Order: sequence, then C-alpha cells, then structure tokens
Amino acid sequence: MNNAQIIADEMLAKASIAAAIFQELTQEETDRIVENVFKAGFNNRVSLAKQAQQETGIGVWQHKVIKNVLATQFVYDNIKNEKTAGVIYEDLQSGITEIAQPLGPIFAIIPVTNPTSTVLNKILISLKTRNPIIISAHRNAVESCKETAMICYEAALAAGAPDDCIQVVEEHSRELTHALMTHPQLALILATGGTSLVHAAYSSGNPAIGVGPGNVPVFIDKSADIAFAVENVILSKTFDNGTVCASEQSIIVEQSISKEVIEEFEKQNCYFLNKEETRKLEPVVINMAKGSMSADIVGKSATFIARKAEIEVPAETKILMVPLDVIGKTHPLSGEILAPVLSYYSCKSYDDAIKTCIDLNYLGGIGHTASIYANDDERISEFSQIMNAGRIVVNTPSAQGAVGGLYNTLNTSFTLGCGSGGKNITTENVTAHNLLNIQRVTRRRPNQKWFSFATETYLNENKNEEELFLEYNKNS
Amino acid sequence: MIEFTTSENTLNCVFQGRLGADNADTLSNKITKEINSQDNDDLKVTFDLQNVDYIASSFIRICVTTAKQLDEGNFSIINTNPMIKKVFKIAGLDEILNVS
Repeated sequence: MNNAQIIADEMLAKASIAAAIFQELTQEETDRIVENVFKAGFNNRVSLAKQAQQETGIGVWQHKVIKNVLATQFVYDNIKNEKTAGVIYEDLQSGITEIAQPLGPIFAIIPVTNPTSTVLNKILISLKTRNPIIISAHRNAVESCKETAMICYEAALAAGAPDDCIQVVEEHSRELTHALMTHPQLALILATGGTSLVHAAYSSGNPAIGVGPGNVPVFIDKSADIAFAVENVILSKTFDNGTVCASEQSIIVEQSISKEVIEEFEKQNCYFLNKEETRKLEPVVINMAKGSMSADIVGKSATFIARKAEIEVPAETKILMVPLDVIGKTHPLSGEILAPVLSYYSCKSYDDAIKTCIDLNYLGGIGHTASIYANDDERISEFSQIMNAGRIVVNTPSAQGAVGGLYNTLNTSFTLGCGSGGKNITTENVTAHNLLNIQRVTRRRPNQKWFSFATETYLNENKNEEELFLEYNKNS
Repeated sequence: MIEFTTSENTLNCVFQGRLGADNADTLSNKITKEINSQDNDDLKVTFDLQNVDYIASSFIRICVTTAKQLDEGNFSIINTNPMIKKVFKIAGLDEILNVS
C-alpha cells in the first residue's frame, strides 16, 4: 500500500469515529459547538486575514477581514436557528416526519483566493450538521488554512465536539488528494476550486458539491443610474483585488450611453486602454499557452498589473478597462480574470447588448452569476430569464451580492453552486442544509380513492384515460 | 413568411412571424428551390430573423440542412432576437450556423 493511501486510511478512520460520536449529539449540544467556533473564528478575523494575504500574496488584507466576517458572523446568522439534528419537521395530518442525519466525513477543498474565509465557512456548516471535516488547502495557502482550522478545532473541542471532527491535510500530493477523494469512508466532497479539481471530485465516485468558473457579464441599461452603477462595479471588482469568482468580468452597454459610462469610469479612476496598451496587457494577464488567466496576476492591484505590462497609468487607477468587440476562446481577455481588469463592450442596440451578454455568459461562466443595473423592471426580468446564472444580481456589486448577506438575503457562502451549466447539482449558495441526509418517516395514511376503486379495471385495454378517471374519481 | 433578395453572391432569406412546424415543409421546399435556381457553387445564404419571434425544431432542421448544402462558412443567421440566439446557443449550433 502506498504512503498516500496509508495517510488517507488513517484520516478517514479518525473521521469515521468522529462521525459516529457526532451523530449522538443533540441540537443543543451541536449549537453550543457551532457558537463557540463562530466566536473563535470571528475573534481571529484580522490575524487570519493578514496571514492569508501574506502567505498567498493575493488580495487586500482589510478586504480579507470582511470575507472572514462574512464567513463567520453572516454564515452563523444564517444557520444558528436552523434545525439540523434529529426531528426537524413533523406533520400529523400528512403523517410525514423529517429527521436530519449527518452525511459523514466531508472532504473540503479550499481555494487560494479565499482561503481562511472558505475554511471558516465550511467548518461552521459542517459542524452545524454534525459532520466531521477534512480540510485540504491550496498549496500556497496551507499555513493560514491550518491556523484557521486549528483555532476552530480547539474551540470545537472546548464545547464538547468529538476528537478529530476537524482535520487538515498536511502533505500535498495528487496521490493523497485522489486517495482521500475516492475513499469509501468519505461521505461528500465540498469542492471549491478550479475546474480540473472540481471535475476530479465529481469523478471520484463519492458525492460532490462543486462550483463552476465564472465570467460575470454586467449589463448597464440606459434606465440605470450610471454613476451609481459604476461606483458599485468598482466597489466589487476592487474588493480583495477581484478574487471573488462572482466579481464582474465585462461591462456591456448600448452605444447610446457608452460615452457617458466611459466618462463616469474615468471620473472614478478607471483607465481605458488603447489598442497598443491592450496588446501589451494580454501576455501579462493571460497565460498564452493555456489561453486563460495567468496565476501571477490573480488578486494583484491594477497599478501592479499595469507596471508589469509596462503601461503608464495614473497612480490612483483602480481598474484597467479593456475595450473589446470580440468574444471567444481566441480572445482570452473576454474570459475570467480574477484581478481588477474589465473588458468593455459598446453595442449598437439593446438586443445586441443582451446577445453579447449571452456570449460572455456561455464563454466560461454558465450557471454562475450575471449582473444588471437598471431601473426598468421589464428589462431586469428579460435579462434574468435569458441569462444562465444561479444568481442574477440587480443594482448590486456582484462579488458581495453573490456571496450573500450584505446586499440581499441570499445565504452567505463562499461555495456558489452553478447548476448543470457549471456541472453542479445545485445553483444555490451552499450552506448547512445541503449537508444533511433528510430521512422521511411516513406513517400509514391510506389513499381512500385507491382502496375503494376496483383496480382490475386498469387491466381492461378498452378503457381510455377519460373513462378510467371518471370511475376512479366517482363520488369523491 | 419568407422573402428572397439577392446581392452579389448572397441569397438573403428574410423570415416573418412564427416559424412553427405547420409551415416547415413549404418553407423548406421554397428555400431549396430558390437555392437551386441560383445555380452558384459558391453561393452564400443568410437567414434574416429580424421579424421572427418563435422557431420550432423544424426550423432548426431547415437551418442545418441548408448549411450542409453549402460550402463551409457560407451559411449564417443574422438579426436574431436574444431569446432565439439563446435557442441556438443551448442547442450548441450557434457557432456552426454562424448565428449573430
């Protein structure tokens, strides 16, 4: 047996014992653990944010504090009153009782872009559902994730959680990840990461909840308050230097308001690149061999990226704006870039603008998030029905809007389901209720119509649906 | 339901209204007849859907059949409304049929 398999076996053996003990706990006992872990995570929000930023070199630590707040305060608010242990629903009339059971050991994949916040988020929802969790962080975020997990683990133990309810994968290798993901004692993979990792999770043979890539189009309609829209886009796209997968990727407007929108972006310190500058930017932002964003610029500031591309921009530049008129794999600047770089499309009509949004949506962000700024309800409705997105955020910064809690009442989550378009099972913001086995106890409630009907009538081929239905429903 | 205009090498087919299953055969025959009458090996054909708000699967079949009759790249669909563009997108035919 190879070393990876031995480690996986040991971790899952410990996790299985933790799962066995965990399922004995009551709702009250579970809630005490979750409250204690929430407090510990929340109280360490600043040090963990700083550590994550220092370790990964990605993003802005102050913004990572906000992410940690979302992952603790807001997630806790979402789940604290939820029934997740034992009988959660009972209806005497229908005779149905629902019992919440834990799934078992969960394997959690953590991305480099939101490391500590995703760990906090996943630990809270796993403990709330009495599931032990094994954390596997991106190789560039191992230490900060380990620190986060240990803080939570100590708080959980202090409140009566079972030993090994939280474990961290210490060694990083493809073999170990594979051995853990495919382990027969594993109950679920909670895969927040790149497409290949999510695909590997789905191919493991174990159940998986994954995410899809984003490519968020933002349609600014002529009915929108343009200054407000631009301000909100900037607030979102610069949040942690654009590392949230729901952050804006393209601005789409009708030609008739384009001049006004460009002026507003410029007024608010965004820099529109000319053709020559765009040519210089592309090889810096894009890994040309792969045709997708370069890891070197993820979560870096606009001025850092401009310097790297040898483009002179004002020191206060917040976002690099790239005017484009093409979309597709052969034009990777039209795809997802997790940094303050936005493509910009000016379209000759409303229909053209919406069709551009469809192309961007389908280029690499199906099922994720789409954004619209408008004060015309009909257009909001039309846009929403045409886009294939789990979340359509309206007049809202899309990064913060999609994560939920701050600008709307969506469940706060760093795992954003993308539905079948993103190869996921749900379009939801994944939270505690996604981590339960709901058992339905159904008491005998005989269907009176069925029992008073001569069922051998069905055997008569000459009776059609109309006659049979008449007989079936007679005197009812 | 359909009108033809020709400019240089291109046969432009302008459609009207709902393109349902009931008129598919007539439509298909008219298009084939018109293409044949052009007697041009390098003919380009565009389907203009500016005034079309619904298409049935029979119309998609007409698009595919027509595209197959022509040299690669000589067929395109123009002026779709967003919902019809989405139909071709979901069907996975928007690139093959050059839908814009």
